[in-house]
Amino acid sequence: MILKRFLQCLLVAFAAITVSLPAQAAMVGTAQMQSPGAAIGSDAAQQREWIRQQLVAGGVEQALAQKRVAAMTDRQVASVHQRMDEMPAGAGAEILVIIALILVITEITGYTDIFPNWPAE
Amino acid sequence: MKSDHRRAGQLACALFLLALLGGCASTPQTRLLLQEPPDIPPRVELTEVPYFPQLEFHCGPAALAGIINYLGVEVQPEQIAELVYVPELKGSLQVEVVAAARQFDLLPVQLDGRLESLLREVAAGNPVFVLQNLGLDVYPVWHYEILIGYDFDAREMILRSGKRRRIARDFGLFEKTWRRAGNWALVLTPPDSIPATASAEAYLDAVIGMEQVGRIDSAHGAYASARRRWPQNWLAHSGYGNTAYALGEFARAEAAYRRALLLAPERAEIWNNLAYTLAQLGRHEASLDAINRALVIDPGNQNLKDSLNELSNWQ
Repeated sequence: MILKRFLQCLLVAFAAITVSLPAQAAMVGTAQMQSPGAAIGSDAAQQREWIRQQLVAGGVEQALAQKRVAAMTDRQVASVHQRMDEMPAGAGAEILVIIALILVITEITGYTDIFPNWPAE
Repeated sequence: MKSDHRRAGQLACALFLLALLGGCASTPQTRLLLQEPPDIPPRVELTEVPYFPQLEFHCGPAALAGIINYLGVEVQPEQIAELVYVPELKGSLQVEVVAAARQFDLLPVQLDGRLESLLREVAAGNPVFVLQNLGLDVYPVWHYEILIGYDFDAREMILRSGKRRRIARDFGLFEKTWRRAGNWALVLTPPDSIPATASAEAYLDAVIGMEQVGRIDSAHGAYASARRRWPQNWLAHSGYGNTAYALGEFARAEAAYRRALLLAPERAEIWNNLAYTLAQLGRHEASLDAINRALVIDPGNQNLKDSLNELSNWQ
């Protein structure tokens, strides 16, 4: 599943590179100077729209979602696109009983540190 | 039903073994730190970092609010939640935390993943925004915290965390929970300063982000800081030039591009931007010279040809 997503991302990235940079006279931005190959081109708008929809689906108000996506750079948009559900989002914790047992043990062995905060998350 | 139980039992055993194996996992960074303590005070605590108790699941907004208020911008966690919190995820994404910092004209500079760098930042007076995975790789419990101090004698990190104003976490345990979160850490900094351990690349990444979201004044100030700290960095000078151009400061832009070109004469795109700047300054001949220099370097580049075309017909 993750591999499939990764491949999808790669495809998106390749598609972006091949269709990007329509010839035009202009100043060259600092981001493009830093990494000339990373231009995102015409897919950026679609990716932003996808992220906006995800935020709204995630319970963010329409107007806020619009603003929040606008606050991201193209590079951030590309990094989030299609992978939002795999990303760490601090913080939440709903623990199943069986896992709680294991966590008690890992906690004692000094491997995790959930309980000083529990149920504070 | 029985087989369900058995499967659950197997899963528990597998996870337990995994955890035990992981429990033996080494903490190389901690070992190194204790063997060769860096040249920083043995104990630091930035007690004046404000504390905002998190509302349910709002550790990101609470931690961000602590740092942002510490830097002199008054803001409440509720306002920050509007920028970063995703109800369905019961949490906040890293990219949105980074984007939110920019909204307050603070550069979100990512640190290099070394434990020592975290301590050096704190010693330099910078609280550090860290992501932790307090659970396991297979069962992550993500949590944002502010690192506000450390104590070498007690071997502890000191943090503002969730509903606790102050917690201490053993160096080794912190290393593990931090490593499970990808060693991710940010220092937020106003444009006139640079975090103690920031590399030129990490700092410029943050500045470029600021420029891209249109906060040109802040980006310009930060490029000024960058070229002071790293005078041999052509990208810092170029960024300074680009933001000067965007602000209509063409003479300043020209000087910056010329500095950049001394360091990176083969960069066609800098010649291109210099050419536009000279056109803005009304120096037509010099502008055409510059764009022709760009075309000598990269003769097949259609953008540069278009630039030549446009600059030839300038006004």
